[in-house]
Amino acid sequence: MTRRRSLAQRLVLHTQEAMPPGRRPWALAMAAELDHIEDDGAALVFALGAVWTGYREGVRLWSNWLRLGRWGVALWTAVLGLGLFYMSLWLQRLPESTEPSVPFSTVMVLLGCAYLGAGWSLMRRRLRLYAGLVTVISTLITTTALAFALGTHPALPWNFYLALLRGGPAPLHAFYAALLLEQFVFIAGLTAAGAFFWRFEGRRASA
Amino acid sequence: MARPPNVSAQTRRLLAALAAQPQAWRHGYDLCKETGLASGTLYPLLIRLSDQGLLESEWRPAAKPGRPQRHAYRLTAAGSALATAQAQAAPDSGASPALAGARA
Repeated sequence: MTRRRSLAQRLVLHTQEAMPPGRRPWALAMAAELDHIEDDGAALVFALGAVWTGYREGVRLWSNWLRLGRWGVALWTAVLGLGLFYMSLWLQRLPESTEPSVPFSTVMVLLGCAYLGAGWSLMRRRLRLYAGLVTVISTLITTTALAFALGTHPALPWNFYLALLRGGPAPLHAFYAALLLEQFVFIAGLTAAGAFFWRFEGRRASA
Repeated sequence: MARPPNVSAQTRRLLAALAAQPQAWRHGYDLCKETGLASGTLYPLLIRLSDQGLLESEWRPAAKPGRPQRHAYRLTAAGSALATAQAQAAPDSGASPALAGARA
């Protein structure tokens, strides 16, 4: 037996593992067909196509992949929430800002709660709640991260939001306005992706 | 807008090959050679046509004694009707190199 023939046979055997259980007869069909191909090179090419077919049929079971992905993201989100509770204790060591501001450790606690809630809502497939919490999380993270990047006290950007909430004239820095616009774009994209993910899994599950 | 099913050039080629001998049982590798389709293209098409009820399949004894059985395929009545409709809709697009040579 040549190496090509031997490899072809191993590939066809692997096809039976790659093929979903409901499609196994087709894998057996391709394996049986291999025995009737005289040319070893042609047999190897045929076997490569068989492997491709096996994985292609396996990937079509997207409901499994989507369910796994959803749970993975949800668990990761929940772990981040727990981490932020710990981080809030560490951030209490930062010097207080002289300007009125939202206590930063409070922000971290709220962020942690939002993460846990988002993780739970994704596990329970509650998209609207997930989208709302993702909005909160994205706003918190982006604002805080940019504050650190600018070397400013992380509580300062919150003065902007606080002023907006109080209805007074906000110290509208152009940078923070751009930041707000970027957050909305980011949040819209994240929410759209989550909606697509949730609907696609739902559609596949009902198919 | 989603493309209607069973209208790809590869599908039409396969349907034409199967419809050329509608009562005969055809084997996978023979169809590969006749249509010019690789096995990685042919077998997903066969699976899809079978799922749609357009293709029937069964294990048949090999032509040479002592060799293992082979999986064989032929169009159902619905599959034959589809092949005829596709051939009428696009008479020149379903030709494969092997089929074109046979007709020449």
